[in-house]
Amino acid sequence: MKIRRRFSMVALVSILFLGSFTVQINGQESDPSSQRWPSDVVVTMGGIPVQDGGRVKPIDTIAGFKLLKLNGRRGCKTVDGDSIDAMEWLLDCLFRPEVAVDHRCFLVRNDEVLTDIGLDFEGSRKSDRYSYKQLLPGLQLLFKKAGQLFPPGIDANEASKTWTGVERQLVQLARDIQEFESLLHYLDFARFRFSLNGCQEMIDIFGESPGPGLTPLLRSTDQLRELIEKRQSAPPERAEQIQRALLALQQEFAQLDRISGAGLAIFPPEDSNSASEETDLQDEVWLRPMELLTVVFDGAPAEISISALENLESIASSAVDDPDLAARSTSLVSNLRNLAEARGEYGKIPLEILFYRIDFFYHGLILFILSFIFTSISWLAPRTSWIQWATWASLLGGLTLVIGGIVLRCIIRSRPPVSTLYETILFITACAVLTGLFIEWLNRKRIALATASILGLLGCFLSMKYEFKEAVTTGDTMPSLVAVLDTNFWLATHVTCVTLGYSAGLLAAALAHIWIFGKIFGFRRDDKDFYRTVSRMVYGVICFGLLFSVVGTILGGIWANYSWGRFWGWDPKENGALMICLAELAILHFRLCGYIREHGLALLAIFNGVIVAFSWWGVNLLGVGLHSYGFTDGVMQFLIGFYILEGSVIGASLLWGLWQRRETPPSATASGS
Amino acid sequence: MQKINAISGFLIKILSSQKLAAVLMTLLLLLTFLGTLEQVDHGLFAVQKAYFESWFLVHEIGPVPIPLPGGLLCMSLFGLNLLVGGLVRFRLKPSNLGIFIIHIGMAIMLASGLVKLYISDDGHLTLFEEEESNEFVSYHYWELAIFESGISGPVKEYLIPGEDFLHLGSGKSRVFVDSDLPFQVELSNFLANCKPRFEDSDLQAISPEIEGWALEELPMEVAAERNIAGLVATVIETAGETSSSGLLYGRSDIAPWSFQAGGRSWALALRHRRFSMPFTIRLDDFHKEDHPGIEMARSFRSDVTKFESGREQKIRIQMNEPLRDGGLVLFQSGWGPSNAPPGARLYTVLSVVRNPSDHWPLYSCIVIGAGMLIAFIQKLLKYAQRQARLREEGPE
Repeated sequence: MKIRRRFSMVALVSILFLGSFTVQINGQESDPSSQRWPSDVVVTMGGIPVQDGGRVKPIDTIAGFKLLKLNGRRGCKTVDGDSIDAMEWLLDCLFRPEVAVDHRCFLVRNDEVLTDIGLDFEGSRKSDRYSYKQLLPGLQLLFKKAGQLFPPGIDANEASKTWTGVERQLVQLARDIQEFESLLHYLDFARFRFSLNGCQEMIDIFGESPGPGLTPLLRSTDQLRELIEKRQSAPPERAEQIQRALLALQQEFAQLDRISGAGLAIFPPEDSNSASEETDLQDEVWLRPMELLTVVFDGAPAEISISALENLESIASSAVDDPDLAARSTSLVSNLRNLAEARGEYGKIPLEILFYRIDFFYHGLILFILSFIFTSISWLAPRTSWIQWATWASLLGGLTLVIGGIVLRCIIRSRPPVSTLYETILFITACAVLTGLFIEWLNRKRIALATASILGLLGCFLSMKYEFKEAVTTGDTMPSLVAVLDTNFWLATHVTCVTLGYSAGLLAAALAHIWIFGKIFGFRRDDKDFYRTVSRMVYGVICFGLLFSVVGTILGGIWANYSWGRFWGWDPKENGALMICLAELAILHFRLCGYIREHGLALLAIFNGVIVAFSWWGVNLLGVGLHSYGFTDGVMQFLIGFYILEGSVIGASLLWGLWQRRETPPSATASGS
Repeated sequence: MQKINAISGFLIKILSSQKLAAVLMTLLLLLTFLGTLEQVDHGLFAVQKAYFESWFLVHEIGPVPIPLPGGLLCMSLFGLNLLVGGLVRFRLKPSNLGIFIIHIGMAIMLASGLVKLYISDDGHLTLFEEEESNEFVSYHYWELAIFESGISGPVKEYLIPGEDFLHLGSGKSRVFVDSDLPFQVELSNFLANCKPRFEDSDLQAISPEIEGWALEELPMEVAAERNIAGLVATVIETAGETSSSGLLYGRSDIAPWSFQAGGRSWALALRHRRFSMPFTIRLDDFHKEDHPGIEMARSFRSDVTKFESGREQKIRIQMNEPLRDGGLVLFQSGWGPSNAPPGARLYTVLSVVRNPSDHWPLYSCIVIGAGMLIAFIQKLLKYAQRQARLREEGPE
C-alpha cells in the first residue's frame, strides 16, 4: 500500500517538476547539454564524503552504483552521443537536472515494458537505453501499473512471486525513475527563493530578494529568533503579519523538505569530535541539507557546514564554464573533508575512490582472457617460449589484480577478505587461480595453467554480474554487516576456510572436465600419462579442499556454539558445508575401496562441484535458515543453467563410459573406470 | 560355537569395512540434502526430528514413499565403524599417522553430538529491564504445571512433562494422580497447534466445548516455536467425586485455569518447559545500536547482574561473548519488540544452553585439523618428489 502511494506521489512530483526544468531549458541562451564538467571539478567533487547504508563513502562510489543500477554500467551517453562517466552523470543530475533528463541512462532490457506503458520508439532495439525525457510521456501509466502490482493487503514479497518477467522489469523501471527523480530534486532547495510575503521585518533581515538557497536563512537564525520574540511585544497588526510571514516560510520549507529532503547525507555533525562509542548515537548520523535547518535552529554549531552549503548552492547556480567553479568545488569538498576528518571518518575515502577507478576485476578479466588465449596457443605451439612467458605474465597479472582488489577492500572495510557473498566470488577466484598456478609450478603440464585461466575469467565475469545485482538490491558491495558477523576472528577463520574449500572443490571439478572432455573428444587418446596426471591433480585438489572444508565447517560450528548456543543446528548453510565434506570424504573412500578409478573420480569431482554450487548459492535460494546474509534474487537462473550444464556433462560422460565398456574387451577394462 | 565365531567374524568384517564407511557417508549426504530441501515446507525442528534424529524415516517423492535409514542410525553405525575399524583393521604407521588422528577427531565429534542429543537442555530467558529470573524456558517442549494459587511465599509445583500427554490426541485420555493432591487430573484432546474460539456454527473444533469455548486445530507452523499447544483438563476431586473441566492453552500471557479442590484454590498451566538455573539473572540495561542512518542492528548487548549465594556480579552479555557459568551458557540471541519506536522499553532474549559437551567440537576440530594437515603435507611432499623425479628423468 505504501509503495502504491509512493509511486502515485512520485508520478505527481515528476510531472510538476519536469515543467520547471522545461521552463529553464527554454530560457537558456546556449545549449548547456554540449558543455561538459571540467575534469578537475569532476575529480574534486568525487571526493565528497557521504554517509550511506550505514557507512561513510565517497560520492564517486554512490554515482557508480546508481548508474550501474539504472544503466547496467558505470557510464552513459549524452543526447549528443558523448560518453560520460558516473560522476559526471551524477553532477548533471544534481546540478543540471535540465541536462540530465536527456542522458540515456535507463536500460530497458525488454521493449515490451515500453509497449505496456504506451511508448514506441522507432529503430530502437529490444534491449536499449533511454533518457528520462524520452520515457516521460509513459511515466504516469508506468507508476499506475507498478502500483497495481502491489495489491492492498498482500505482502510485497508475496506479490512479487507472481509477477512475470515484464512486470518485474516494469516495477524496477518505476523504482529507477523514482531514484533518478530524487537526484534531480535533491538540490531544489538551492534553486529556491523563499518568499517574505511583504513583511518589512523579514525584509530588514534578508533584504528584498534573498537567496536562492538556504544559506541566507541559516546565516540569519539569530535575527529570526529575535523576530519571533519581538513578535510577542509587537502591536497586534504587526504581530499578525509577522506571524503570517513566518508561517508561510515554515510551510514553504516543509514543502521543500518533502521534495528534496531525502537523499545524500553529506554534512557530518559538528558538535562531536569522533564517532566513538561514548558519543550519543544520534551524533553518528550525518545530516541532509534540509536537516541543517533544524540543527541550526536548535543552536548546534554548524558554521563549517553552512560554508559548505553556501559552496554547494553557488555551484548549483553556476554554469559549468564558470571560472570560479573549481575554487568553489575545492572549497566545498575541503570543508566537508575537514568535518569528516575531525570525526575520523574520512581516512578510507581516497582509497575507495582509487579502488573503483582502477577497476581491478574488469582489468583482471581482460588479463585472464588473454592468458586463456595464450594458453590455447601454447597447446598448439608448445615450444614457443614467448607464449609461455606471455601466458604466465598475463595470468600472474590477472591474479595480482584480483588479489590487489581484495587487499584494498580489506583495508577499506577493515575486515578479512570474505564477509559478503560478493567477496566469496573474488576470494574463490583468487584461490582457485593461485592453487592452479601452484600445481602448474609442480608439474609444468600446462593443464592447471589453462584451468586457472578459465576459472579466473569466469570468476571475474561472475563478480561483475553479481556487482550489478548488488547495485540493484543494496547499492553497494561493501554493506554494513549484521551484528552476528561483527567479528573479524570468525570471519577470518571459519569463512575463509570454508571459502577455500569451495574454491578447491570447484578447481577439482574444472580439472575433472579436462579429463572427461579429453576422453570424449579423443584428445591425446593414447597418452595415459596425461590422464593420470589430470586424475592425480583432481585427487590432490579434493584432498586440499577437504582439509579446508572440514576445518572450516567445524570452525563454523564452534562459532555457532559461541553465538547461538549450539554447535550444529541443521541449518541449510551448515548442511551445505556438511554435504561438501561428506561428498569429498565419500569420494576418497570410494577411491580407497577401489569402487572408482580415474573416470569415476572425474565424474564424482564434477558432482562435488555441483554440491559446492548448491552450498554456495543454492541454499540461499531456499529462503530458510539463519544464514540469510546474501541476497540472491536473479541467481536462480544462473544456478539452474549450471546444474543443467553439469548434468549434461555427467550424463555424456556416463554414456561415454558405457560405450567404452562395450567397445573395449573385458580384459582391457581393468584400468578404465 | 564355530557358527557364532563365523557370524561375529562376519559382523566385525562388515562393521570395520571402509566400504560401509563410504556407503554411510553417501547415505548421510543424501539425508542431509533431502532434509535441507524439506525445511522449506516443514521447518527446521520437524525436519531435524524426522531426518537427523531418527532411526528410520519415509521420504515421499510425490506419491512415492521411499524408506530410508535415519540420521541417528547412520551416525551410530558410522561411530561403530570408526571404533571397530580402528581396533580391528588399523595398523599405525608413520605414513598413516594423519589419517589415524583424523579418525580420533571424528570419534570425538560424534561423541559430542551424542551427548548433546541426549543430555543437553536449551531454551531462552526473556527479560525486560529490571526483571529477573532463575529459570529458562524451552523453545519447543511443553509441560503441565499444577500449583496452589492465591498463597504467598514459595509455591510447590507438580509437573507433568510433555512426553506424557503429547500423544493424547482426539479420543485418548490419561489420568494423573499424586498422593499430595486432593484431586486427579485427566488430560485429553491434545493439539500441537491450536487457538481457542468461542463456539459458533463455523467452528471446526476438535476439542469439546467448555463454557462456550473450544480449541480449533491449526496447521503446524514451519517455525516450530510458533506452535501453541492446547488440551482439555478434567479435575476429579478424590473425595466427593465432583469434577470440572477446563481448556488449557499454552500462550504465556494467558492466565492459568483456576479451580477449587479440597477447600483450596488450585491452578493448571500448560506452558513451555522450564529449567531452573543455579543463579538468578536480572537485566539492568539492554542496549541496541544501529548502523548510522539505517535500521540495521550493529550490535546489541545486555548488562545483567548475576545473583548467586548472596553474591552479586555485574556481567555484560553480547553477540559472540556469552556468559558461561554453572554448566550453563547464556548467549545474546535477540531482542524485541521488533517494531518498538525509539525510546520504547525493550526486552532481551538470551539463549540458554546446558551442554556437557560444550567444548568438545573445538577439541575435535583441533585434532581433525592437525590430522588433515599431517596427511595432506605427506601427500603433497610425495607428489612433489614424484614430479621432480619425472622432470629429472627428462621431457615427456
